[in-house]
Amino acid sequence: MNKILIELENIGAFRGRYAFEMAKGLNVIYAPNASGKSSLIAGLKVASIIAFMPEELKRFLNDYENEGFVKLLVDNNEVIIKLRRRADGMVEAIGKPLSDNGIVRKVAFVDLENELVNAIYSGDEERVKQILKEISGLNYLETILTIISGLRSEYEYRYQIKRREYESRKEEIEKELKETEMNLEAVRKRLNEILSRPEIEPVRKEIENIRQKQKEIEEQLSVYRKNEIEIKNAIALRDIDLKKIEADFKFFVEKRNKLLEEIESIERNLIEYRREIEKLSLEIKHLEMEKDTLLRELSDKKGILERRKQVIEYATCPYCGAPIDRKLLETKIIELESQISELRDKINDILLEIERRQKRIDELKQSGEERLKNVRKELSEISSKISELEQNKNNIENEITSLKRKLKDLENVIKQLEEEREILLKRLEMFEKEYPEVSTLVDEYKRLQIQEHHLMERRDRLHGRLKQLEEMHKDVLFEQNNVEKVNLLEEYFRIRLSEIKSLAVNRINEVILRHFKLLKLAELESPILSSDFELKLIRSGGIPTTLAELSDAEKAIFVIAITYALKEHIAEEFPFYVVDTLIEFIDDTRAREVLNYLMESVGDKNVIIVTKTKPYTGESTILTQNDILINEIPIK
Amino acid sequence: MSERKKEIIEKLEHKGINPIKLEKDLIANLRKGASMVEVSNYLKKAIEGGKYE
Repeated sequence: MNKILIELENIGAFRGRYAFEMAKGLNVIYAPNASGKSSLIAGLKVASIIAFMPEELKRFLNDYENEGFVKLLVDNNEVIIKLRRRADGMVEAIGKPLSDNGIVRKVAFVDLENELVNAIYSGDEERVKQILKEISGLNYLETILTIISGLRSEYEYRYQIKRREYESRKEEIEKELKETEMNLEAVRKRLNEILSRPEIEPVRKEIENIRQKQKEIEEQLSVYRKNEIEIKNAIALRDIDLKKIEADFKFFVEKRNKLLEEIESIERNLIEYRREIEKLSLEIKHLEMEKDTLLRELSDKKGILERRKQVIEYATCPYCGAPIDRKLLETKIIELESQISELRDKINDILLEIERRQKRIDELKQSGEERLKNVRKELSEISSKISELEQNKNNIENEITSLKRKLKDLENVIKQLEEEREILLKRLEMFEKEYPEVSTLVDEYKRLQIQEHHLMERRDRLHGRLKQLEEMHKDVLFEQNNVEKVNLLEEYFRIRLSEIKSLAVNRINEVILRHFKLLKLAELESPILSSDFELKLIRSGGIPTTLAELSDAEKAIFVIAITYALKEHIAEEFPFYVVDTLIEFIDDTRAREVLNYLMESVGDKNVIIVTKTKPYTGESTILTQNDILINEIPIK
Repeated sequence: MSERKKEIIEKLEHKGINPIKLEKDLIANLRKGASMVEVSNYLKKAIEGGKYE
């Protein structure tokens, strides 16, 4: 659908309802001064932009009316914004506008209220730079990059600290493990040496049997110890989870109790609220009736006043044929005008009273039933969260109980094996007594066996600590991943920054230079805008100039070129581009070139609206300074 | 779009971050007057949460 409909009621200069139809492409609205061109644009702004202050909205609503609306139909998308005057005289807007992109106001509505237009016309180059950076998002990207750069240092630091701690602990354990393995090897070597000694012959077979059995026991012990460490680690981790869940659980239970208290308090007051709402609604009804009566009376009096004003110049009344007493009629007219003014005041007072009561009703509803509904909803969400946490807590507690049971079983098995090992040592002690000739060797053998056992135990514990370090390693990997992410983000935003700089700036430079050359205006050297949005105005031949020195027409073309290029770049989806009043600064021939450019660029994609006080003359000559005519006014 | 930018977007998406959406959200927040601390927290959430899609 190419048609765009805009309907206005009591907006700006429009009192009553008016409808306008526009089409995709260029629309030139021409009408004399103060005929409503800017009011139409104001209506379009109200329907398009979200960020208006009540004071601004006050200018959009017709001064004599308390309510108005704008209806916009574009691409099957209907937008209705109602304006309502509040008791304090300010105006509020109700309804969702076409765009929530706040920047639209700065790039799509080029009029004398536009910040950039004002900065350009006042020649404030620094302000222009700041606004352009803000509009293009450049300053925001710079801020984001500054923040990311700070975060990168933070993440790098955290990663390095954790990595170093992990590596030093790992190194320490591995060093200890190596030493233990070496000691173990030395002990075993010595054990074998003792067994190969000829003096040991009488007990060799027995000792070899004991050795074999002990080996088996140590192997089993090693396996069970590893399991024991794993289970202990798992219990410790689950304990951390449990503590976290318990803290969350406590927090939500407290929140639930507070909500329950609030529900109780609202329910206590609810009957009172309902009674007050009923009373206020009844009062509103009466006030509405009173207002309708006054409105009828006002309309009657307005009719009489109009008729009296019509007939005042007549000799006889055209309605009844009676002769006209002009003096009497003038007195009656004054009386009627005063009565009408009084009636208006009364109606306004009633409207204020209605609004006051309606506001109170809204407040009561807000703190009554609506709040109750919201609190109940929140309560239900929190209750289900609490149940979920309870479930998780139970699961973890069950898991811990089961792990502790397994641990106990393991500890019993280990205890049994240790007892078996003790029996073997006892047997060795018996040999010492039975065979005194080898008692020294057997004693050494026994001590070495005990040492071997301790070393093996130590080795298993060190392996367990290495396993624990795996958790720490996960943390290190997490930090490393964060560093990678933040580095990628920094690179991404750097690319975006350079893209915006080159794309937006190049486009603006291209459009400005093209028009200045085409329209035989002051030729400026490229680039006009630096990549940092700094203005560099140099006239051909290398003569520097300033924004303030440009003519009004040059400034108008400048501002149109910049805003249109930016609008296409950052708010392409917004369907309107409006130039109000500014085109008046450009002569018809040059203005036509600018409009041709806009028309060609937009095609039937979006809507361009330009306002003008009179139609184009058809003049096609570009005048130079030599063509300027100055009327000579004789001095008396 | 440059090859490098495409590559970065893919890598970030693989790590659970949609940079285009993140950029849009951050700029919208800044336009609404968000402070540096708020933006920084938003970014941290995106980086550490890993589920910013």
